[in-house]
Amino acid sequence: MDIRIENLCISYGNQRVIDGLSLDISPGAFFTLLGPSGCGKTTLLRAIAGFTPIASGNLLFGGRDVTRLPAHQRNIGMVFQDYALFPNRSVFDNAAYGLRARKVAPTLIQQRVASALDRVALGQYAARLPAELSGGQRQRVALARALVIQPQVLLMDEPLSNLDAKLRIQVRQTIAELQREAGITTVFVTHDQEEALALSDQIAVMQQGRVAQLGTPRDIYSAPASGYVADFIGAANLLPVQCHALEAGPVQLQVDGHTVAAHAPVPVAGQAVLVARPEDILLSTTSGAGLPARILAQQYLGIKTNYRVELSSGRQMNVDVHGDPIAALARGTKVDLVFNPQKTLVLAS
Amino acid sequence: MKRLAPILRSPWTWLSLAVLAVLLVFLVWPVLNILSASVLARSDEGLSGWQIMLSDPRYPRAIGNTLLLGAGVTLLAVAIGVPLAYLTARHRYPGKALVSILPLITLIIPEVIGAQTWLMILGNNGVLTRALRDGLGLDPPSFYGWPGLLTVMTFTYYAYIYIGTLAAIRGFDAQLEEAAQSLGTSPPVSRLKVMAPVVMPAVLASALLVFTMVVGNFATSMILGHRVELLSVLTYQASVSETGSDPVMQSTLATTSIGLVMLALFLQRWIVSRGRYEITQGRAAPETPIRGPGGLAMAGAALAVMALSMLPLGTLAVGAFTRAHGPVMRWGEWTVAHLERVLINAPGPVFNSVLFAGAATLIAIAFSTLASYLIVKKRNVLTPWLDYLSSIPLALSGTVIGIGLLMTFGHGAFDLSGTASLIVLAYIVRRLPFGVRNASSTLFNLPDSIEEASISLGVPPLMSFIKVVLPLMAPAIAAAAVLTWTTSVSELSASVIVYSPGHETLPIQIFRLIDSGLMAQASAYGLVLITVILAPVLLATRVFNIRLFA
Repeated sequence: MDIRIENLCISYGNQRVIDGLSLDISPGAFFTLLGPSGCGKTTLLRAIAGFTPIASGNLLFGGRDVTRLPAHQRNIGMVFQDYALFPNRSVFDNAAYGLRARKVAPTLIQQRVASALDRVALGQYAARLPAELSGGQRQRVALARALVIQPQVLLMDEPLSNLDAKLRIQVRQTIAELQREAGITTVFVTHDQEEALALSDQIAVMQQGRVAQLGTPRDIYSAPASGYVADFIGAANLLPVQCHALEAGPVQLQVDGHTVAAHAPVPVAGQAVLVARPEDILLSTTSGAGLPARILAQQYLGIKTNYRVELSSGRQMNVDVHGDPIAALARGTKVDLVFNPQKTLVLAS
Repeated sequence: MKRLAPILRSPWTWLSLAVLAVLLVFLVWPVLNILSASVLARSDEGLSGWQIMLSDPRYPRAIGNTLLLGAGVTLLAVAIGVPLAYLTARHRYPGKALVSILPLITLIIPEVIGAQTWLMILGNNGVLTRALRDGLGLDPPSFYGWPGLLTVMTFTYYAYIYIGTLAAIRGFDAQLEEAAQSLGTSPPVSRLKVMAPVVMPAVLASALLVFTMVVGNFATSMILGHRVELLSVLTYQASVSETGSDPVMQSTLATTSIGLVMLALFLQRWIVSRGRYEITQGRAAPETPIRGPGGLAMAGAALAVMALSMLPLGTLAVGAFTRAHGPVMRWGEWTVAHLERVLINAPGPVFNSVLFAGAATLIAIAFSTLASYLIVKKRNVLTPWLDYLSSIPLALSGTVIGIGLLMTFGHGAFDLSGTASLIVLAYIVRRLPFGVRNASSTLFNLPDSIEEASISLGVPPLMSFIKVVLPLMAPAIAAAAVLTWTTSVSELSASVIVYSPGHETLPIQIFRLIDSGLMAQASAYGLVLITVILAPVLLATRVFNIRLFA
């Protein structure tokens, strides 16, 4: 079932939260709405679910206009951040709730719920109350409850944010497997870029009620369309620069009086921003190798060492050194930053 | 127009409108009637109520007495309630278990019985008075007037201070005291400097609550006031006098009462809003055993207070079975005649009370659950108004509510006079703010997502509410129902104004018997009243394990 959003507007009072947004989500896709809090991603998800009234525009499920259809008639499965399990119902009854509402025969309910709970490895917990489960188990019950009704669309609102780091990865894998198995068109809301990159077929990075960039995880990471996207995905270093590149391709820029080679994916002129990811910068102790800087602090993170460096202009940047360098660079050490000219981007600011 | 369509199609909009309409008719209209009559109505001499009030010294005197009584009772209640709360929160002492049932006792002893039983001991025909007069030849001072008013009301209301203060002390994080000590202040000084400011707003808030209750108090004021003129008594008399009611003065005095109570409530809100310290992590202090002669004296005083609080129950139990000759009790001679009369010959008030309070409880609970659901979960332009309007009765004493209902529904197009519906209405209106607040706080703690989960699984909104939200609210609703029941069954001040012959409730009957001095009869009715109150309370707390005081 494909989802089509046409020129959607949503307002809270006088404030426009979603502003003329259009999206096409292809059938069976795992589609992620990514952005910081307040960007409108949850509002959009709740509008797709039918919980937030739409001011104007259209919403279509498989070509059918559902803009004015009440939430309970949309045949959606929804997973919430706080699990939203019914605390007075057992795991089984939670999962059976939607089937009972659909007047499915009791024997069939028994069968489908049991298999749904087995699929999330909770078969033996059917009689328990939600309070007797761990956070990860609860979210798996919620997932089973949403999937057992065979919805046309699966909607997930930050389903992993209440879990600790280890569980988050486990449940993430469960979600990915189940979604692929069921082939249900899924809209997933998160502020966590790693989650988005790991799970999605397509990501829409949102900014103030609009889509800042739409693309595959690889597109978005390697070719961010703006400084905003680059900053949000992967904590890139951003430096304001002047640039005059009349066509896309390699450019030479002046940073603190030194020349830096970079790549302009589209033509830019005037105020621009230099985007360099921490892992795409090399630290050189050879003077004159690149942009001079000074080590401010270092954090040893096992798989890599993160250095905070200061340029001669006083601007600070993050540089990641992978592997285990023999000697850590001490605070105050003078270094030169060497940028990878293919991966260092210049974007209009 | 496009925006309006979904709003008009939503069932919640129509329900909000319906709730609003009910509040406007049964609450706002009566209040407006009182307020407008206080300005517009003229006496036979063509004077407005306010002119009469200024010219007749009785009225300013009554207001002064009322304020004085309010201040006096509040101070005494604080003097008893705060130390008792501190002692109970921080120490172990013999007989402490008794103190923990104090909230329950306050709940089950109707005020009219409190006043009655104190009279049976210290009144003109009281046990103690007679013993002193006949036995020792002394001439004890009359209990009527100030001594009686102050004593009885203090013992009626100190429990509210105790409950409020206890909650604040228990909620106080004892680590803050330890932090103060680690910074170099001695334990008593730490307590004074760190705990006192945090607990103080709770004490002041409950003190002002007591003040408003004293200002609105009817039963004790009426029974014991005697020559002390009080606002509530004059208001009642203006409304229900043998020569016919005085429409000018009743509305003027009722308006004055609303004004006084509102002033106190605003003051309370202000204090509460200023003093809201957030204690994030409450680790209560360990309870320590009490030590030394000072400690023992404190514990003794606490037990004495408890004994006096239990006094009405004991007196009632004995009085109900004691032979009486008119107003004279023959202590030591036993009989079941009074109880027989109450249960067999004249059980009308028992039936009336159960019927009216039962009906009021059902309606009040259903209404306040619906209103709270709209206020908390289905916010729209109207719902804040539902919230404001449903808290209006906080500013209305029972007497005022009775007068308002009688002025509005006692005649004219919506004449309900002579029916019991006015009594039921009075019960519902009086309890409304508590019902709404109770249900609202439960609903606040239920995340919206639970309901949305149900809707997303295909259950329509209204069914989702019934299937998912209502079961989760059930324990709170049951607790609210029990509290509504107890307060309605013991309600006197509003129902005594709106009742008509044949619709006497137990408190009304008791009140009339006290007025005639027939204490033994009154005791028998009182005993039945307390049973009627206690039965659901015990059922709820013991059988269904419902926590009444969350």
